[in-house]
Amino acid sequence: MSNLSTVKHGGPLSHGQPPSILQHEIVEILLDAERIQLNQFLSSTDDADETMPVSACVSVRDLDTPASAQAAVERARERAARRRRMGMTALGCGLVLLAAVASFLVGQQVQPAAAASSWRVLQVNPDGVVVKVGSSQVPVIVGGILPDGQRLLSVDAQRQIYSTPLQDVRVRPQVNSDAMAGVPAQATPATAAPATQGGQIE
Amino acid sequence: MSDVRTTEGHTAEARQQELAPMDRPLDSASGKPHLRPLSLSIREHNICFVVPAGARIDATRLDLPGGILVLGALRGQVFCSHGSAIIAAGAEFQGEIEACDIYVEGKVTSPKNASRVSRLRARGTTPEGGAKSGGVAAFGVQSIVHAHIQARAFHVPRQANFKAAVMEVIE
Repeated sequence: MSNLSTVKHGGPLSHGQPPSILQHEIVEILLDAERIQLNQFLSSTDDADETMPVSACVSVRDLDTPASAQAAVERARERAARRRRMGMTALGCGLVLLAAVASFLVGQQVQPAAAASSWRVLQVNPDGVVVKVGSSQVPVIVGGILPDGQRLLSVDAQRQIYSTPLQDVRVRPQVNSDAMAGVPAQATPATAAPATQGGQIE
Repeated sequence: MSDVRTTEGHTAEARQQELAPMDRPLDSASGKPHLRPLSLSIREHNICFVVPAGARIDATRLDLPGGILVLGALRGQVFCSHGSAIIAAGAEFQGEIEACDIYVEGKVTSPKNASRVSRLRARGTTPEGGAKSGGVAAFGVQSIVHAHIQARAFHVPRQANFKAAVMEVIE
């Protein structure tokens, strides 16, 4: 025995139906009913808890008429879209927070390392100097910034001297470069002592 | 197989009164799901084709101007240009069906030895010059579904057998 039942067509079936009879009217006549009842749907009282958590889920109480079903579908889709937007926003906020924490942690690791990184001037060229930072060599032209943050003001390639706002430095052939890491080893501040030997310090 | 029960000589108010008791929880003590009848208008859902109870139709393709009511067994491709597809309790469908809205109380199966599963598509309606609306796929608590279901919105009870179904929300 099926659960399907129908409600009888309202009026008596008259002979001589008009030729423009609609298709659904034929079905109504065939079934002798104008409504179809489906008895296996959850009640409106608890279907919110009993339906699967799918996106765009509608309540059975809205399905009685196509118009109410359409409105329910649109509401459900709006709810689903709102949930998706909220989810994406939360995910975005989480990622930003994670990135901020990661950058903070990495910065804490990197900053001391950067501060402690060694550099020295290898040679003075006519247009600037060549600086060795770590294992790489970086050219710095006049007007550029040295690794210690000072601006390179001028160079004298012939005498292997370069100038910054704070000091003039003469570059000498390096004997043991690693021992002087972090300091322009060849440098002697111009302000620290007068030039005494061939303009080593100016 | 399903059959059709009718009630005769009732006015609309009387029918409403008749339906009202069923809208209450049926067996709250037993903890079974509370059911309510879903009363669908043949006119509003534009049902124009019926597979009677006890009938078995193996169709290649059905192009229908309106909706379809399946009370028996139907296999094939069904396209409803308007209206809803209703697979009643006791009915079985296998194949592809596309309609504005789809209501399933019975079984939707897929061929055992075929790579392609059955497909239900509730595409909704697009009024001329308007935005798309509707497109719900609703299932009864005793429905058994092994299919790929595409719809704009779903009503799927937890009690339904959906272990082999794929649900896809479409635009």
